[in-house]
Amino acid sequence: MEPVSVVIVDDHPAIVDGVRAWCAAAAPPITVVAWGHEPAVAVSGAGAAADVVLFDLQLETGVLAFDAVGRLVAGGRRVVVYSQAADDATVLRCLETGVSTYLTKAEGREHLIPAVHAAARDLPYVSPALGGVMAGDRRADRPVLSDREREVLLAWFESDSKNLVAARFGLSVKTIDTYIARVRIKYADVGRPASTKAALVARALQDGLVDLGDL
Amino acid sequence: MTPDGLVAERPSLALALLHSLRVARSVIVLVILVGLVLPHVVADLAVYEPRWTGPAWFAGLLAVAVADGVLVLRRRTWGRARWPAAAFVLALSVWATALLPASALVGPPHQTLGAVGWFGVLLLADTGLAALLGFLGVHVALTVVQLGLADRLDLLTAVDLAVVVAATGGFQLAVGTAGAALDRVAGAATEAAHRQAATVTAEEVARQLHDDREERYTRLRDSVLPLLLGIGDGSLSPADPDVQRRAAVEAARLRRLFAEEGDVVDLLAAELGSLVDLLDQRGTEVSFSATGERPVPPAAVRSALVDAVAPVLLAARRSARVTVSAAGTGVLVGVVTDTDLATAVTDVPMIESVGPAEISVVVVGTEQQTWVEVRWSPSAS
Repeated sequence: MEPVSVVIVDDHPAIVDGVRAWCAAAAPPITVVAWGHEPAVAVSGAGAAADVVLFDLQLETGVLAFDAVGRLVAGGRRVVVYSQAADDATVLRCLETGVSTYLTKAEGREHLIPAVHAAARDLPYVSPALGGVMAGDRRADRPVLSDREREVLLAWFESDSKNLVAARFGLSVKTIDTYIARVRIKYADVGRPASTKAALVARALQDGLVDLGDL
Repeated sequence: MTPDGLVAERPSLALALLHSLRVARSVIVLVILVGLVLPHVVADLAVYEPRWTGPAWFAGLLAVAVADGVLVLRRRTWGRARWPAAAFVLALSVWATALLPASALVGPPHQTLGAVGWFGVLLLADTGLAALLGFLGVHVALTVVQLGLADRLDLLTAVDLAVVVAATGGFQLAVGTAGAALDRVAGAATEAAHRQAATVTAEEVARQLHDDREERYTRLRDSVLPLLLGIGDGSLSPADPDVQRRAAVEAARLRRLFAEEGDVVDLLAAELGSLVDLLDQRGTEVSFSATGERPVPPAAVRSALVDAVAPVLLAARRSARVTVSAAGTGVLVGVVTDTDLATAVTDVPMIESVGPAEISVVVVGTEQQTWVEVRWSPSAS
């Protein structure tokens, strides 16, 4: 199997270096094919063919690059947003656009590496921060979550440990994973259509993670 | 919640009064139509040729009045539809006047003469006195033109017309201007009520803050002083881990007290943030995240929430995670530390100051980690 390739769009050299080091040490390995501080690095040269775009939302001070994310997603790219911004509105807006997943920069390699692997395979990945945002979502057009799904998401946000969540609810880690992934798929199934969202839903249906009745 | 926020949720007094005025207007017009105009329409059926035309213009006016009544009941206004409706009423008036024989004009069968002005009140009074005056003026002018066409511009008719216009128009203008006056009075009253409520709220907030602070200082006297005295006279050793932990807890309390002095909006997050800072300085790696739209817990609850997690958090060794999230109408505070359950749970205090129905604690532990979740679920009241 070809190693997963990623292009990093981030304006902090330290972050780029750190992520490259994490990717090099990852198992299975992740190849960083290009990096730079402009979205252009993901659409031309070596970056254009990368499986996953790791995208820093805040490329200029005070400006969030939603438009660039939108263009990448519209071009069928799998975007993992890795951002300083952790406010609910920003995260929900990115989900709505059709990004594969959203990580805050407070979330380190233990979330970033699995998130990139999951994105490359069109599998859902929900970091604790993203779980917290989805659990607290009160918009009128949000997907309908069961009480248990909401509780599990909140617990995941609180503990950052699926072992602790599993111990608390007396369920297996695999079941906890299913609850969390199912919520992510529900989010992919609402709002504006995008090919990346469709791929997430299709893959989840194929793998039996959700059935049509859940959606 | 700010005092302003409390006040803004009160229904506007001005709107309530204006609604009452609209109800009164609708009732007046319906009573006039059914009680005064309808008997004349029935009695003078023969004056109209053909006979259905009398009931027809009456039905037209009644329809407008009923439509207005429905809008008032639904607390809606005519909006832009007021202008075509006003034109429709004037057209009915011209038609009804044209149907009458010249001898009946400005006499008892000429009911539209007095009644039509009321529709100006219904449809236009809310937009200002000018529109109402304009409507009444146009109506009188049209009537005068029609009198001229019927060759009835004699002095006696003019006097009769002036009497009708002055009598009914006076009432209509009075009711119409009442709305504008009421609007001003209600606006001033609402503003005064808001000011008063804001003052009362601010006083109450200040009083509670003062009481809270008094209580905190009392508690500090009871806990900080003995600790400091103990360290001072040598009976407590700064090298003792237990003394260190007590000192950390008291330091956190002091910081919370200082945090309340500032204008920090989310006091719960600020208090937890102080604890996080403390651990940070101690070299423990702490992450702190907050999410969701959270309600603001009262001071006593806030204190209980922080007190419940503080000892577990302060027992953390190398890493800890602190979260605040919204849960239904309540708040969840979560703390995960790298201490094992046996060490941590002995430090979870029983919460007696706040009703157990409002605050619940869940402790989950593995060999490597302890997770304490404190949930505040305000009762529905």
